[in-house]
Order: sequence, then C-alpha cells, then structure tokens
Amino acid sequence: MKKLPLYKKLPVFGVVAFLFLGFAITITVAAPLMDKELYQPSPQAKPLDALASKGREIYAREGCWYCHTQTVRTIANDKKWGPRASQPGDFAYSNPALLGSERTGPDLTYVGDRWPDENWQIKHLQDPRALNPDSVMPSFAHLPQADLQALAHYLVSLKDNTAPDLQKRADQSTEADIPDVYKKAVNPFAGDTAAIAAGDAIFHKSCWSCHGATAEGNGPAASALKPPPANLRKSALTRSEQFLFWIVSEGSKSTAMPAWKKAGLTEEQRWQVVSYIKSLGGQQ
Amino acid sequence: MFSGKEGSTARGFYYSAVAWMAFGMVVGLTAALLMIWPDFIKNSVTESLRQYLTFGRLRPVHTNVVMFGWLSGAYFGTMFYMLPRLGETKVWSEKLGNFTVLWYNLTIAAHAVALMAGYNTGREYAEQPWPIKYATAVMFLLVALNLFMTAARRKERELYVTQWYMLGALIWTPIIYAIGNQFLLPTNPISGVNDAVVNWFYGHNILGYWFTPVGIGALYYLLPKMTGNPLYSHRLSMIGFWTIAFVYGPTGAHHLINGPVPQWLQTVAIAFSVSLIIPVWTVLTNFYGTMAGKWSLVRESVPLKFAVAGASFYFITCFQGPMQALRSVSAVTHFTDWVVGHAHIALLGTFSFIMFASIYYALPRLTNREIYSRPLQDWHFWLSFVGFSAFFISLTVGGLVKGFMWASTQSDPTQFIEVVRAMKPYYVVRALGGAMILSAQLLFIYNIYKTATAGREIRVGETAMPRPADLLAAGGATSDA
Ligand code: HEC
Ligand code: HEC
Ligand code: HEM
Repeated sequence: MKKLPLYKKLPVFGVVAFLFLGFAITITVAAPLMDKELYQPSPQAKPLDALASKGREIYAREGCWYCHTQTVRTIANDKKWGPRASQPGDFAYSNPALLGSERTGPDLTYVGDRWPDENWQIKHLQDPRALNPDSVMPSFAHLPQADLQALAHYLVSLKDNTAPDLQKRADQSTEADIPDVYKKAVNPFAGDTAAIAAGDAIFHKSCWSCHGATAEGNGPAASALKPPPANLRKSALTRSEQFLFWIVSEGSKSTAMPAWKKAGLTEEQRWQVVSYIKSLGGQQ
Repeated sequence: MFSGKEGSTARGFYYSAVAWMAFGMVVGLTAALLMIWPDFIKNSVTESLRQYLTFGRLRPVHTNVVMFGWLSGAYFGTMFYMLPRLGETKVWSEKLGNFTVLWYNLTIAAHAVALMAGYNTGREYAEQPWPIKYATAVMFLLVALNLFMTAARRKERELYVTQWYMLGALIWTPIIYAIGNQFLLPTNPISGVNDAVVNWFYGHNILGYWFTPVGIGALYYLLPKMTGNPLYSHRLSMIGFWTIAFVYGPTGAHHLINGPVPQWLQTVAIAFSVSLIIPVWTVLTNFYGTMAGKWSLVRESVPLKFAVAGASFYFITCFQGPMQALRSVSAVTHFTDWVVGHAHIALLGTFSFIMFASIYYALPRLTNREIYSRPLQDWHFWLSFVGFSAFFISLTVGGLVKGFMWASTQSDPTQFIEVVRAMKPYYVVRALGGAMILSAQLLFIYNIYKTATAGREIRVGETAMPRPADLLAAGGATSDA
C-alpha cells in the first residue's frame, strides 16, 4: 500500500470540527448552566403540591404545551397575559420548564387568575366547544376523572403570587368589606350611554358564558359551578358601583369568578362593564 | 443474517425512509385536520382509542417520525450512496449497515408507539423516554462508525466538500443529541429555565449541524453531476462549511427572544443568527455559479427541478431566519404559525426536496434500473411544489395576521378566540396543501416500488439514467460512479 498523504487529515478534521462546536457549547450551554442566578427562586416561584404536580405531569403527557405557552415576554404585546413578565427564577421549581413555543391557545402563566375555579376547568377540558364554539382545543372527556381533577387543580394554581390579596367571597360580603382602594374609586363613566354600550359588548364576550346572555346567572358553564354565577340583574339593584368594581377587578375568592384586573380587562373596560351591569337595574 | 450486497444498506434506508415519510405525513395531515375539525377523531373512533389520537399525542409522533424516520433515514441512505463513491471505495461493512437499517426501523417504531402512548418528557424534539434516546444515539453512532471507516479506506484521497459536510455532521450530531437530551440521563438533571436553554441549543443545532450540512453536502454532490458543470468554487464551499460550523452553534436562544433568559444570551443568539447570512451566501453563490448556462436542463430533469426548487426555498428560509431573530420581528412572529411555516420550508421545502432529487439520482444506480415512470415523476414534483407553496404561504400570512392581531392592544385574553376564528381559512389551505403533498409522495412511493420491481434494467456500459447533462455537455467535476 502506498503512503496515503491525506489519511491523517481525517482525525485532524474531526478534532477541528469538534472544537468549532465546542465554542458554542461553552458559551451557550456551559455558561448558563453555571449561572447560579438562573436557579434562584423568585417571589413568583412556588413548589407545587402533590396533586398539582400530578396535573403538571398530565399536562406534559397530553401535549397541552404544543398549543399553550407558559411564559410572558418582556414586551408590550404580552402585557395582557399577566401582571408581570416571566423571569428566570419563576421556573426554579420547574422540570421540565414547559415554556412552550406556540400559542394556538392562550398563554397559561396566570390562567388561575382568569379561571380560578376547578369545576370550570374540568367542564372546559371535557368540552371546550360548549364554552367557546370556535375553540380548536381537543376534548379531554376521555380522561379519567382523577386526571381531570389533577389537571384542573394544576391550572388553577397558575396565578400571580406576588400581588397583595384583596379577594373575598362576593356572596358573603357587604359594602363594608370593600377594600379601601376600591371604596374611594369613582366611576368615570357614570351615566355615559356609550360606556354602557361598550360594557354590553364586553359582557357578551367575557361574562356571558357563566352569567348568561341575560345576566341572570344561567350561562352554559353555570351548571358546573359551585357557588353558581351571580344573577347580576339582582346585583345591579343591591350592590354599589364600588362593590361591583371591586369584585370584577379582584374576583370572588375560591369561586369561578375571575379577577378581571389580572385576566385582561383594563380599568376603563372594568368600569364600562360595571356601568352596563348597573344599567340592568334600570337606574341609569 | 444480514446481507453484504453492495448498495443494500443505501437501498434499505431509502425504502424504509419513504415508508416512514408516508406514515409521518399522514399523521401530520391528521393533526392539520384536527385544527379545523377538532372533534373529527373523537366522533369516529371508540372511547378507548381517543386518548392515543388527540392533537397533543399526534404532534410529537409527526415531528419525530418525519425528522428521524423520513429525513434522517433518507440522509443515511444518501450518505451510504455518496460517501463510498466519492472515496472510490465500498461501504466498510454492508452487514453492519443492514443491521443499522433494522435498528433504525425499530427505533423509529418505538418513537411512534411510545409517543402515542403518552410517554412525553415535555421537551420539544426530545420527547421520547430515555431508553429510546439511547437507541437513537446508538443509531447515529453505528452510521458514523461505518461511514468513518469507509472514509478512512477511501482510495481517492482528496476530500470533496460533500465529504466534509457529511463527516462533520456525523461527528456533531451525536454530541448535540446527547447534550440536548439531558446527557441521556433518565433523571433529567437540567431544570428551570436552563432546561429551555439546553432544549433550544439542541432543537436548533439538530438543524444546523445535522439537517443543514448533510442536505447541503448532497446538493454539492448532485449539482455538478446533474449539470455536468464543475462546482463553481470549491474554496467558497469550504468557507461556507467552516462558517456554518462556527456560526450556527450559539444561535439556539433565538427561540427565547424577549423571554426569561439573560439578555446577553439573547444578544449572542441574535448576533450569530444574523451572521448566518455568510454561509448561506456561499451556498447560494455556488449554486447559481454551478447552474450557470445549464438552466435549460431544469425543464427536462425532475431531480434537477427538485434541487432548484429546494435551493430557492433554502433562500427564503435563510432570509426569514436572521430576520426572525431580531427582537422587534420576533415580538410579532414568535408563537405564531409563521414559525411552523419556517420549520416546514427548511425541512420539507428545502431538505426533503433535496432528498427527492438524491433518491431519483441514486436509485437507478443502486438498483441498476431506470426510474419506472417519467410522468409520475412530473406529477410528484408539481403536486409537491404547488402543495407546499400553498402550505407555506398560508402559514406565513396566517402567522402575520395572528401576530398583528395579538399586537393590537385591544384584544384581551378573553377575546383570544377571535384570533382562533381568524386562523381557520389559513388552516384549511394548509390542510389542502398538505393533502396535495401527501398524494404526491404516494405517487413517488409507487414509482419507487415499480422502479425496484419493474424498472427497465440498465445494460452494462449504459449510463444509469438518460440525463440531459450527458447529451448536452461532456464531462463533470468528478467521474460518474
Ligand atoms: C390544539 C391545540 C390545543 C391543545 C392541544 C390544548 N389546548 Fe387548551 N386551548 C386551545 C385554544 C384554541 C383555546 C382557546 C379557546 C378555548 O378557551 O377553548 C384553549 C384554551 C384553554 C384554556 C383557557 C385559557 C384562557 O385563558 O381562556 C385552558 C385552561 C386550557 N386551554 C388548558 C389546556 C390543557 C390543560 C390542555 C391539555 C390537557 C390543553 N389546553 C390542550 C388549544 C389547545
Ligand atoms: C367562569 C365563570 C364566570 C365568568 C366568566 C364571570 N363570572 Fe362573575 N361570577 C361568577 C361566579 C361563580 C360568581 C359568584 C361568586 C360568589 O358567589 O361569591 C360571580 C359573581 C360576580 C359578581 C358579584 C355579584 C354579587 O352581587 O355578588 C359580579 C359583579 C360579577 N360576577 C361580574 C362579572 C363580570 C362583569 C364578568 C365579565 C367581565 C364576569 N362576572 C365573568 C362566575 C363568573
Ligand atoms: C403532508 C405534509 C405535512 C403536513 C400536513 C404537516 C403538518 C404539520 C402540523 C399540523 C404540525 C403542527 C403545527 C402546530 O403545532 O401548529 C407540524 C409540525 C411540524 N412538522 Fe409537519 N407536516 C408535513 C410534513 C412535514 C415534513 C416532511 C417535515 C420534516 C421533514 C415536517 C416537520 C415538522 C416540524 C419540525 C414541526 C414542528 C414545527 C414547530 O415546532 O414550529 N413536517 N406539521
């Protein structure tokens, strides 16, 4: 066999090729892995209880994360997804991270603030199209009840853990229970018919599925909820604007009533919908 | 037990790969239909089967089967065809090669079964449970061993650029695979946001260091062969090789732009992503340089049509890529169907098309039979091309519509459904395009089957396929195999 001049090049080539990749590994894998700050739990990070952990496993197993992200970006577009952008420390207890890469459905980082009730979650998982006729989310009615419960418990646990808690049960509260910040609030739209019309539109997008198209507490999700959605025609007569604004903003503790402040309605929109509710009492 | 016949490994990979392609695309089309009729499976199968066939179960089956079953399988076949020929030698061990074909088929089948059964680690493209990750790593190592031994025994000592790309990919891929899959440890030790960082190091670099170099390497082999022109510039192709090797690696975090990862990591990813313009430019310059004066051949040759269409789609991919990495663009396009369009133009429009060209080129030489039907080849091209164009345009436009609807401050989360509703027409066009692509591949598979069983045999001394290049120009970069 004659001496092969280039034979030795193959191993040399292999080593050089490896070194080129090694550069990338060093700066974009090794450096972040050694960055201790990335593992420091933030105030938002909270270890999950056993049932929620099981729910999270089911969430990974069923591929919910192909359609749902769990990360709120640092840009204006993402403000509506929650009160604060996700930070590295928020994921300190997460394995896998489940950030997700597509939003075929909504971001779920703070979904527990929007849909705080496990029964609502189960109903939605079983039949998404009953609550949202145009939803393309799969039905998970075939899952065992225990799985649905774990999933629902997990979803409800996904909420903002950093804001002060101003929540109480609406049906057990009176005007005296309104927190100070809300007591002093004034409706900027009092008597404004344009605002009532805007509130009407918001109501028939965001509220009707529970409170019903006529606001009497009989929407398609109502039968699954305990306590049931309030009859807002009655509330219009018995509650003050400040009370309504408080509950609409902060939600009702341990019920399905979302905290709309965190669920994506601006202050203006919340006042508009309160004006609308009030108008149902025939007073405005 | 395993055949030692020359060419049998390449044939085995090609036949298996096209079968996995059909399966993977059927699953992809099913997923696409579920985005239009979310209950169509629920309403048509029994209660006990439903759990295996939801979108969330089918999607990873689709991605893993098309990436590792179809595209990687076709890559293996192509490398087992091209590398021995470039080295003017034989495959080191066809027996080991045929064992690898079997191993690969079992591994891909295990992916499909496990993912449908719900064994999902929650990491994109790394969903499979750890025993299957080991099987995949072994698959890559067996291929690498066989082909490195083949290269070491080559008689033609000069290394052509195709060899650089393919051998480089065989070194890089197992490393990237092992890192990206949590070092193959069953305990998944990397947690928190670094899980995402490592996941996207892998998710992006499996493209940069596996799908890109092997596909480009194959293109560099095919172009001179099919046009009869020598490669425009070997030096340029080498610059392209080393810049890919250097620039691709640190870009993974461009999947996490504006996300919960350190700013410096994002900036590094953006800077390197933009620099990817350089290797892409070398490929495209070489492509147009090599094609010079031979464009008329495209009309006559289907494999060349696929190569030209693939290179054009590559241009679009690589125009999108650096743009998408910019913070302001990502703010709109990220999380939308635009990205799905981008994934498909790279893997389907570019690299799958190059593989179609490779199979049409290599198969007659591997079977000693002419491609059975020329009209079927034309149908294959045009249905694939038109179907894919519809697929890509619908996702790209739909993605932009979605992104801008989200960006308009009025839409709050409860109005998300408006965006879902707005996507429907785009999803319909995507599914129609997908159906065209799938039908094209069924014709292709039938054509391959007939070629292998009933294609006209090529007599000794005859060129394998009546190629226009042979008629119009004499001589090429390298002698024909
Ligand atoms: C095919 C994509 C898809 C999959 C898979 C999917 N979803 Fe959804 N999801 C959606 C869409 C679209 C919506 C918005 C419409 C609606 O409310 O049904 C949604 C809405 C939701 C909501 C309400 C969010 C909100 O803010 O209104 C929750 C909670 C949810 N999904 C949880 C899940 C869980 C848990 C899984 C897995 C068991 C899952 N999803 C799987 C697409 C999907
Ligand atoms: C997921 C179901 C659900 C949705 C959606 C929902 N609510 Fe409620 N809401 C409830 C339930 C349940 C209660 C009863 C809470 C309780 O009894 O403490 C309630 C109570 C209320 C109350 C308190 C009534 C009272 O007199 O105590 C107000 C006001 C209210 N909702 C307004 C709204 C508005 C406005 C929207 C839309 C922006 C909305 N709700 C959307 C479930 C819902
Ligand atoms: C008939 C042809 C095909 C159809 C109908 C199809 C359909 C789909 C669908 C519906 C998805 C899920 C998108 C989502 O989650 O919103 C998907 C994802 C994906 N497909 Fe395909 N596909 C096809 C062919 C291919 C081929 C040939 C490849 C690669 C070789 C491929 C690679 C991928 C990848 C990588 C993803 C993940 C995209 C991402 O994460 O952004 N597909 N496909």
